[in-house]
Formats: sequence, structure tokens, C-alpha cells
Amino acid sequence: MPSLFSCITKDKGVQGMAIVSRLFAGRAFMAACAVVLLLSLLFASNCLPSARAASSDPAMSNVISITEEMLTILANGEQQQAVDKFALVKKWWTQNKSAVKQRSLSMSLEIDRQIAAISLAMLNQDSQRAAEEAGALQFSLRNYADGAYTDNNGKQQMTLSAYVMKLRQAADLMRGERWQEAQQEIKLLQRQWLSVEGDVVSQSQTVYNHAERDLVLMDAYLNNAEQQGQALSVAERMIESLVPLVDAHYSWWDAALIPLREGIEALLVVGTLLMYARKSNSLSAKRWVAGGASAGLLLCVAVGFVVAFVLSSGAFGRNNSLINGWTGVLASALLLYVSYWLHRNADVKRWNRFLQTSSDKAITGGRMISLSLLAFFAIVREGLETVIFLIGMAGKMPAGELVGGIAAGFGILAVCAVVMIKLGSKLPIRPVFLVSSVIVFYLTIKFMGSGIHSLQMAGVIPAASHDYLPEFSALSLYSSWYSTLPQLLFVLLAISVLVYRKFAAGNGGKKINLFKTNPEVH
Amino acid sequence: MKSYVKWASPLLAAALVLGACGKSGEDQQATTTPTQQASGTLANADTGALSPIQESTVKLQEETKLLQEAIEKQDAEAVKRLGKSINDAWLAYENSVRQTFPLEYTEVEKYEMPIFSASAYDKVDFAALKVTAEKLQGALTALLNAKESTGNASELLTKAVANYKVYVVEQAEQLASQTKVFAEAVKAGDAEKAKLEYPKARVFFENIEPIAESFGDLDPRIDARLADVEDESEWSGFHIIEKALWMDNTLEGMDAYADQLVKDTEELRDKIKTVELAPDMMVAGAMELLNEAAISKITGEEEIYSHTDLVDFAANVDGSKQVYLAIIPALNEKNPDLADSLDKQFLAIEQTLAGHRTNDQYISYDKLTTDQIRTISDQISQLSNLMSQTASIL
Repeated sequence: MPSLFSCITKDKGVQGMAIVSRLFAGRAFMAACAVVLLLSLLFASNCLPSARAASSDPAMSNVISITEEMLTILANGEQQQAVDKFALVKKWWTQNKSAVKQRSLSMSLEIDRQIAAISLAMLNQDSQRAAEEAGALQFSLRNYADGAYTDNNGKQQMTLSAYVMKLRQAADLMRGERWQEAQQEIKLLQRQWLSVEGDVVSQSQTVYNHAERDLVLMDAYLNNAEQQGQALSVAERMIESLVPLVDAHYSWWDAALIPLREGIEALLVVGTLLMYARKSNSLSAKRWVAGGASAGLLLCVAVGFVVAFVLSSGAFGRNNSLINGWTGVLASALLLYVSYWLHRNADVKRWNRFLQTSSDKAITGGRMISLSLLAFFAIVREGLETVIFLIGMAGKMPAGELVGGIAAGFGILAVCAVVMIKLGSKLPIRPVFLVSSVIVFYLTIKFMGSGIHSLQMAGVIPAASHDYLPEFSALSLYSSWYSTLPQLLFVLLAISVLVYRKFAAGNGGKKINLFKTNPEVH
Repeated sequence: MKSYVKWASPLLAAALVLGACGKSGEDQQATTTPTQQASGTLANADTGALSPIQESTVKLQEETKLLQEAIEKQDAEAVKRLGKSINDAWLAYENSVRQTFPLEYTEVEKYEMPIFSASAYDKVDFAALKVTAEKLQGALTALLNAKESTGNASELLTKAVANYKVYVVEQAEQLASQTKVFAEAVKAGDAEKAKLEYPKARVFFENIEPIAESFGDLDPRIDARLADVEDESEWSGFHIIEKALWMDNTLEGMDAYADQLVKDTEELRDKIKTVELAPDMMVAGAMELLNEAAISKITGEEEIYSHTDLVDFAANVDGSKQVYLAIIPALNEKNPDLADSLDKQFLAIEQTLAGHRTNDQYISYDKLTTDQIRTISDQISQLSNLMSQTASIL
């Protein structure tokens, strides 16, 4: 059965129509970019800088230290003393409840519920339960003091300086060898990372990469009784690297760098796919790629809306890691195949035969879907983060500069894409395909590493650290077997295919069809 | 292989829109649920046949008629017996009423509960019961003729807030008038009467405490405890008079506090009339009331001199229940199971509390055993776990 789109290209009589469609395919992509720009303008005008609510109120720090003392007392099992301390907490709450409520109803309810739970636990002499709830209360109180909460206007108040402060507190817990509490803190910081990472990545990609690695690393160390001691030095180096970025000021160029940094990998993937579609003269392939990429862009914009107006970025935190992780792993698997395919077809004779024998049918339905999905994954993977970073920046610089910066960033990306595709289609097959197969293989390794890493951030895959494994962020190489093993497997697979093909070619030049491209076989 | 493309392209499209449409799909499902449940219970207009709900309602009206006759005859035995049987009859079908006619349900529940409670009291207040029984008849007639309620989620919430507002205003008015009666007894130096009136006035405040808290220092002026004030000379309100009545055993110097208390509760009443309630505030208020009960009432800290903490506790629970009753239509849309569980849990705690009454009053807090306190605190904790899920309707 002929596929829907190949009918159009097959019939020479409708070539005019094909040209129109081709124009359309390109335009759709550009239109999606325009939509992104327009919407970022919207965000910018809506996200006015909100007052920071971090409280320097002495009563606040007082009640936090009282709660802390209460925790220690509860741990020692001295009920009556704990009740006395708790009376002070309750008094503070009676006097401050309505003030907290006016800032954040949800925060006030959280604290109110915890105090009620402690009250009941103490009444029933359940010290363990009281201690658990007191721990939770202490956390909420600190979050409130730090501004790590969503206010009544739905705005997340977390700042990078509050984040660093919390990191310091986690480090203090590690110093006190309170491993379990420290791990709880780190897990919370992983979730809150999304609220501040935009601040970080816009200033230093290196710090950002290291911080993401360190967050998983600390969790892994704290999880393992033998490695707990190493967590502190990781926390310290993370604090050290973040401190210079606190209270930064942004220019339009910082805004431009975000789409550039985040978009370059997606551009490489989509660009390679479009170039391939051009080379094989397949309009339908081009349309599927453009379609997948546009769908990805639209999804990113939609999520951006949700984060800006419905959820806080903190609340979206784990979802982002999940999406990032799964799209990374899936895209990696698809890319591995693309890389192999590009490499194999880098042979001019082979390519020409491929075009002749199967020109119109070259790209079968299944492969269409893969191309489309791959473009979709590649865009969603980085696009979501781009959107969230930009939302995070929106309150911190003039709207005009922000929009200008975003426009510049996407403009440069668009120019790169056009140059890459034009150049790719003008140059001879062999170097283009060989180079792009290497680039694509590099992305395969990178996507797999960062995908697994994100899944570790999201808690889907356990965090574990093995010090003897190397780290290299440009390749998304992390010191964990969970991410390194699949990467290694990919490399081994690639090497064995190369060797096998070389060996087979030397042995009478027989054609090996590991992955058949002929449509009849599918 | 090429047929792949045929099914794969819609699949891809479906996957892409999944994120966007998941929510609205849920909503659609939710809105159809009550309709399906209702279809089995509605009357068939053509044949004139009664639905199961209507049949039960007709029976309940007959029982209520008997009750009204017993009230006329001042037959306490019969009133108590009928109070129980009316409650049994109502419990037998209230779940289906709640799901189909939430607004009418709330009305019936409002008047049915006091009639049942009266059956457990030692003395019967015939005058009050007469009014309640009439209102119950009215509510049952409304239920008999009820049409299925419709409306989208936000309309239901707006209506819930409006209904709850009526309750809050009513409580504030009663607070002001009952406080006046209490204050007069205090000023007349009639300590015995003042002790009797004190818990009666407190109930109306504890029913709506979270709303009262939203007016700056009005709440501390009325309700501050000695433990809450920094400077004892600034202490005023109910609890300073409580201390005079039960601890100091003299009402000397209390006149000024009594006058101020009347003024403050009147100010509260007037402010509450103009207050704008938001759905999230209302739902949060239901949680706060239960938290209040757990933080200061069940610990015996609210009424350290009079030990009438159970009165306040019951009032907090009741105030919270009023929010629950108001949001039933919205709960039916989003989470009908939650309404069932809440109903059961309120019933359980009300029964426990009813067991702690003698001479038509809650027993003193210091008469409760450790085990009894534990039971109550377990129940309030379960109730507040359930109540916290109501935030999902917002």
C-alpha cells in the first residue's frame, strides 16, 4: 500500500503542488518559531518583578531555633520539656498566623496542619510521630523564612541566594553527620533546582552542569553509608561555585544565550534530519521532520504557559526531569540508528543506488514516524528547559531587552540552521554524511548520559556513584554505572559494526545488510 | 509495513495532544457521573410513579408528622423515639440524596441533626423542636419536588460560598446577641447565670473562628488566652471573664470587659456582613477549624478555667461540617467518594462527642480519661486527613 505522502512525490504531474507543500513545510517551522517569540513577549510583560518575601523577622528565626531544640528534646525522649517548647511554637503561631495567611494561604495551611499534628502526637505521647511532624514543621518554617513558597498570587518566591542558603544548611547537617536529614534536604533541593537553574545557566554553563551533577552525586553519597563522608565536599564545592552567581544582573545577551545554548543540540538533530530529507529528495520526510519539530515547539510553549500561569516552576520540577530523561533516552536510541544509517550511506555508489532503486519509496512509514518522533524529542528535550529558564529571567530584566535577546538567540539559531542545511545539500555526499554520522553519534552518547542522569534526578533510577568512573560533562559522562554502562554499550556496538563492515568489505566487498533500507524487506 | 503509517500518524497526533487534553477529558467524565446516578432515582413524570428517593422522603415526612404531633402533646418519650427512627430512616437513603440533590440534602441535614440530638438529651426543649420540625418538613417537601441540580464546577463553588456566607452571617448575629445575654449576667453579678451563658456564646465564635481571624486584632481582643498575650494588662475578651468566673470567683472589675466584649462581637458581626469570601478561603477555613480543635481544644488549653473545651471542640467540628455541607455539590462533581467518607467520619466523631454529654451539656474536659482523649484525637486526625483532600475541588 503506497504511503499517503509518497503518492504526491511519485506522480510527476503534481510536482507544482509538491513545491508548494515543500514551501509550506519550511514555513510551518518558521511559523512555530514566530509563535515562540510572540509568547515570550507575553510572558515578559506579565512577569513583573515580585517583591521578595524572605523574612528577616527575629521572631521567625527564634521560632525556627525553638523548633530545632524541640526536635533534639524529642529525640532524647523528654516529653514534658518538648511540650513546653511546643507551647512557645503555638504562641508564635497564634500571633503570626494571619500575617502568614496574607502572604500565602497554602503555606499557612501547611504550617497549621503540622502544628495540629504535633499537638495530637504529643497528646498521645507518640514521640516518634511528634518528632517526624516537628521535622516537617521545621522544614516548612525554613521554607517560609527563605521565601521558598508560592504566594497568594501564585508566584514562587525562591531565589538563588535562598537556594544557596539552604544548601549551606544541608552542608551543616552533613557536618553534624545527620545523614538522613541531609539527604531529605538534598532531595528537596533537587526539586527546587528548577526554580533557580535559569539563573545559573544564563551565567555559566559549566557551573550549571557541575551543579546538576553534584545534586545527584550528593544524593548518591548520602544514600550509601560508606560514602556519606564524601557528600560534604561536594556540597561545599557546589556552594562555592554558586555564590558568585547570586544577585547577578542580566543583559539582552544573557537572554540570547539561553536559546543558543539549549537549542544547538536540537538544531543539530533537526538540521541533520532535514538535510537527509533534502538529499533523498523526499518531501514527505521533510514534512514529517518539520511536523515533529513544530509539535515539540508547541508543546514547549504550552508547558511554558502552564508553568507561568498555573504552576510554579518548583511544582513542575520533577516533571521536567522526567520529560528530559525519557526524551533523552528515547532520542538516543533513535539517533544511534540514524548515525549508523548515515555512516552506511556515506558511500556515494551506495547512496546513488539507494536513490535510484527506491527514490520515492526510500522512506517508509515506520521510518517517517521515527524521524518525526526524533525531531519531536530533540526539541522537547531542551525546549522545555529553555522556556522555563526564560520565564525565570522574565522578572529580572527589562521586558524589551528580554524580548530582544530571545529574538537574537532564535535568529542566530535560524541562520545556523539555514546555513547548515544549504551547505549540507551543496557539499558532496561522503564528507557530509560521515561528519554528520559522527556528530549524531556524539549526540547519541550525550543524550543517553544526560537522559539517565535526569531520570536519576527525578528518582526513577536510583542515584549511585562510583568514584573510579570518569566524569566529563561535554559528553554527559557521569560517575555512575547507570548512565555509563549504556553509553559504553553504544560505543562497543559502534566499534563492532565498524570493524565488521571493514572486515566484510575486505573479504570480497560483500554487502552487509544488518539494517535493511530496502522497503520490500519491511 | 507501509500500513504502519496509517495507524502511526494518528497515534503520534494522539500522543501529542494527550498532555493538553487529559484534564478536560477528566472533567467530562466527572460531570456525567451524577447524571448516571440520578437517572435511576428520578421520578418518571409520565407515569407519575415515585422514585426511590421520593418514596423514602414521603415516609420520612409521615414520621415527621408524627413527631410534630408528639411535640404538640409534649410527649417526651414519643419525641425521643421518633427522633431516633427519623434518623434511621434518613441514614438509610441520605447517600443517594447527597449525590443527586446536594443542596436539598444540606437543608434536610441541617434540621434532622438537632432532632436526632434531642432524642439523646435528658430534657426536651419542645418550643425549639417545634420550629425545627416545621423546618424539616419544609426541607423534605423541597426534596420531594427537587430537580436535579446542574451547573459547572465554578458555578457550584460560587453557590457553595454564598450558602456558607449565609451560615457565617447567622452565627455572627447569634454570637453578638448571645454575648449580650452573657455580658448582662456578668454585669448583674450573677455568676451562676454567667457560667451557664458562657459556653452558649462561645459556640457561635468557635463555629466561625477562621473568618473572625481575618479582621486584624478583633480576634485576639475577643478570644485571646492568657498564654497568648505578651502583657497581661492588654488582655481582654471571653477568657479574662472566664478566669474571673471560675478561678478568681469574683466578677469585680469585669463590667468594662463585658461591655467591650459586646462591642467587639457587634463589630465582628457588622464586618462579617460585608466580608467577601473566596472558595479557597472557605475550604481552608474548614481545615483550620479542625486544626484549631486539635491544637488547643483537645489539649484542654482553650478553656483552662472553665474546662468547657469539649463545647468549643464540638463547635469547631460543626463549623467545619458546615463548609463540607456547602461544598457537597462541588465534591459530587470531582470526588463523590470523598463526600461519602467525610460524611461517615463526621458521623463517627459526632457520635463520640454525643457520648460525652450529661445533663444536656458536654462534660468537663478534666473528666475525660486518657483513652477517651486518644479516641477523639484519632478521629479528629482522620477527619482532617479527609478534609485536606477537599482542596481538590478548587
